[in-house]
Amino acid sequence: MSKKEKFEAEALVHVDSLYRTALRMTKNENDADDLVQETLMKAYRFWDKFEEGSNCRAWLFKIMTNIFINNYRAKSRAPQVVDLQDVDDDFLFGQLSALGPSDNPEQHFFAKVFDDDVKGAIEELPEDFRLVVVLSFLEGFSYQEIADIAGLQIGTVKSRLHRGRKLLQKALWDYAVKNGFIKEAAK
Amino acid sequence: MTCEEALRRLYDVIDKEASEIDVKEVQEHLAHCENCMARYEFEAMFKTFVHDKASTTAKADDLRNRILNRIDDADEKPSGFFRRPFRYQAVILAAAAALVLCVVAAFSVAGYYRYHTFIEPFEQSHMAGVHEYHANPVPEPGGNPCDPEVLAFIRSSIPVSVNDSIPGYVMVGSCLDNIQNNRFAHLTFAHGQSMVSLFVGNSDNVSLPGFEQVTVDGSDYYRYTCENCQIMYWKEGSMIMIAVSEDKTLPLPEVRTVFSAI
Repeated sequence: MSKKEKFEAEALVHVDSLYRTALRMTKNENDADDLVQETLMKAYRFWDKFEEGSNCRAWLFKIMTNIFINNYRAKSRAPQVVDLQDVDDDFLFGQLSALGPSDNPEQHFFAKVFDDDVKGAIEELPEDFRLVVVLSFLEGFSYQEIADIAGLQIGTVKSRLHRGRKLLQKALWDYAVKNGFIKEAAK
Repeated sequence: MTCEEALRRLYDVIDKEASEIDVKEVQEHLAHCENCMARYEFEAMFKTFVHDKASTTAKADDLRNRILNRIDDADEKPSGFFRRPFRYQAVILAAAAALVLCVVAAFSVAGYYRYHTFIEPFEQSHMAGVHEYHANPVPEPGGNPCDPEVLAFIRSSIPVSVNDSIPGYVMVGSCLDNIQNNRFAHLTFAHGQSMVSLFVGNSDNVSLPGFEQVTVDGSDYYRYTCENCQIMYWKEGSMIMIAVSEDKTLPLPEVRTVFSAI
């Protein structure tokens, strides 16, 4: 098998998955397209550095994350302050439960919210949280894999994922209320 | 297990990161705690919901094909060296490592030592340029003009201009090399099927023992012929010029005319 054939079989099969994450991270198709191309060309150039039998998908995501952080992330690097003081861990669950058991509000909520709304809510997350949420929720990487890919401590991965999840639930709830899918429970 | 303990493990269990024992204990608790059960079910549903809604993306088939085309291009022309001077780092490092090994191993064998220590790094650098050129020929005539960084390096030492054309020679590449702890401008010329490398650097720390002195057209040159190459050097002020070619019949002093006083 030639180098190209091997690369095609092991690395290029992940192009859809890379593109999906690139799209959520860059928020536009042109940048996502460039980011994935740059990632795979770099991977091809360093293909002899890839250890056969190790996790190729995680290796590709690590390359892509590095390129994204160096070249694409928002220019201003002021610390990302997120105020979650008023938001409980069970915020969304609590809100939906308060609507009453009879109308099955969870099902209603999950059925009403569209694909684009979820994608939009993910893209609204601050970058640090967005990265771990995308790697975990969309790509199914483990905490350890995310730590390796993003160059973070495993504890940082857990706390960012926890806060990212909360932010996402809050955003989707606000969205559902705003669009009248759900009537906010009486205070 | 209390509800508090069960909820503390919530995301570890949902994300499949909890230990088997934790999972088992949580399951035992959930079996008789409706509230926690409802919360666990909700969070699991939320995770699946986000995944299903956000992982649908248009197929990237077209992107895949474009990458394949770029790979074909990259394979056809490895390119770059003549425009990117530092692509040779690996070769130079390898040469440096070989040099260290050879110094230790062959210290007593003077000629061997001399060749590997003083000659080979130039020969290797020259041959690396030759291979790169054959893999990626520059269209003639015209060649590649001298890289501005290389030109600036030469000019910072001697006030000369570099002629892009010497009769019979075409400049095809230029870069900066590190040999014998010295920085050299490395210019590469094609002469028909033959190639000549010209290294230009400060002569202070350069040691090239074992050369034979020859006089051509009234100027002094020092010449060394090794198994696969010939090397000639000469000095201009504080600068040393070292010409290397694998073609032993080539009159190396010809490349001297690449420089003309400003």
